[in-house]
Amino acid sequence: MPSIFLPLAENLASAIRSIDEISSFEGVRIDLTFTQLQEMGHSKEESEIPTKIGRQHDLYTLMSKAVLHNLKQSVLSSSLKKHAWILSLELKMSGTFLNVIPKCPSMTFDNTQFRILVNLRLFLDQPDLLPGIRCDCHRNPVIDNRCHHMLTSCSKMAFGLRVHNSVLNTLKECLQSGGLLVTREPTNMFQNVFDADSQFTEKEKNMRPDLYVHGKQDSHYDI
Amino acid sequence: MFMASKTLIMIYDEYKNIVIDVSWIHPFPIYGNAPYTREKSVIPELNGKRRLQEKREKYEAIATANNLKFYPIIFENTGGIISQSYEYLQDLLKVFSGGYQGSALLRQYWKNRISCAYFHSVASEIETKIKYLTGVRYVDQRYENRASFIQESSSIDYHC
Repeated sequence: MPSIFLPLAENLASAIRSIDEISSFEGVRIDLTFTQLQEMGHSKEESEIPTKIGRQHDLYTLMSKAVLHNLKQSVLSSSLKKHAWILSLELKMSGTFLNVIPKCPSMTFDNTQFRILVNLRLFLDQPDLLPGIRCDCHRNPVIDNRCHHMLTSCSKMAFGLRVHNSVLNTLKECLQSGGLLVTREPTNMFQNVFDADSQFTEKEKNMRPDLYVHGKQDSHYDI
Repeated sequence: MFMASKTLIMIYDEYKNIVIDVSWIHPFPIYGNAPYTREKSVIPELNGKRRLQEKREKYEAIATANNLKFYPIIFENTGGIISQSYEYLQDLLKVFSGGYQGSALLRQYWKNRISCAYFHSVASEIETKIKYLTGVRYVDQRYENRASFIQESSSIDYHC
């Protein structure tokens, strides 16, 4: 495990030693040389965003990889669900709300909302929830302290539907702003099955996908 | 003779006839009797991939039969998108091509917007639900409990 207190780097050699110590973990030994340090920062990642390029970013990535590995190992021995949660947090777009720019109203949260989200992200109890309170949905379960019940199985007050619709509307807005023709929940999408003796049932033919992208509208020609 | 004008709309093939289904799933089961083992907990995107498979079984065959492309977009409840769906989303966002740094910033902006839309609604729904269940919303809605009413009523001089 890396030391808790970060040593004050008095010179470059001690700084490199400190980085080596933090970046090394079980089975992986990091031994940076001055030449390696100089070469860092030139590799361009898949992201073209300027903040994710540079020596500082490379060093940060190197150290955070080891810290995350150590954290996961310690969590795995205590709680399996928390470990699964951390794995899920590693997915793309899970933490973008924490450092989005520009700070327009649709990308900012008030204090209560932000507290709820940070507690949710850190797998902590929701402070505003009274412990032991029962939900008013059809099974009347006791709500777990982290409010995961509301995220998953609570259909009361159309929780899931509202979340689903808000994202869907944003995705539709996004695609439309790119010049695509988009329809939400179109009907009769699967009626034109070309195979005459198809195996599809009427129920399947009447399914409604969330979005239908007609195509990109290039230009209009009036005749 | 009057001829009504007709509009021709040119449509690119690349983005033509795509159906999208958006879905959410929790990274681990919170109810049920099935044991949640250590083996399951170390597999990333386990539930997300299962949901992806379910959606494909539901839509893909009929979509292909109708000459449609099917893009399942699966999120986990942490707000993360599973890797295959992320590729589909990237594919869709290629519509923003050209401009500053290949429109990378514009694509990033829309990813942020989608992510924030999810978190906004999750936060507001949890807040509303907690207030509803703990009775705070009821208390707030009572006129006599509002700060403005208390302030006004306390300033009235009943002795005059």
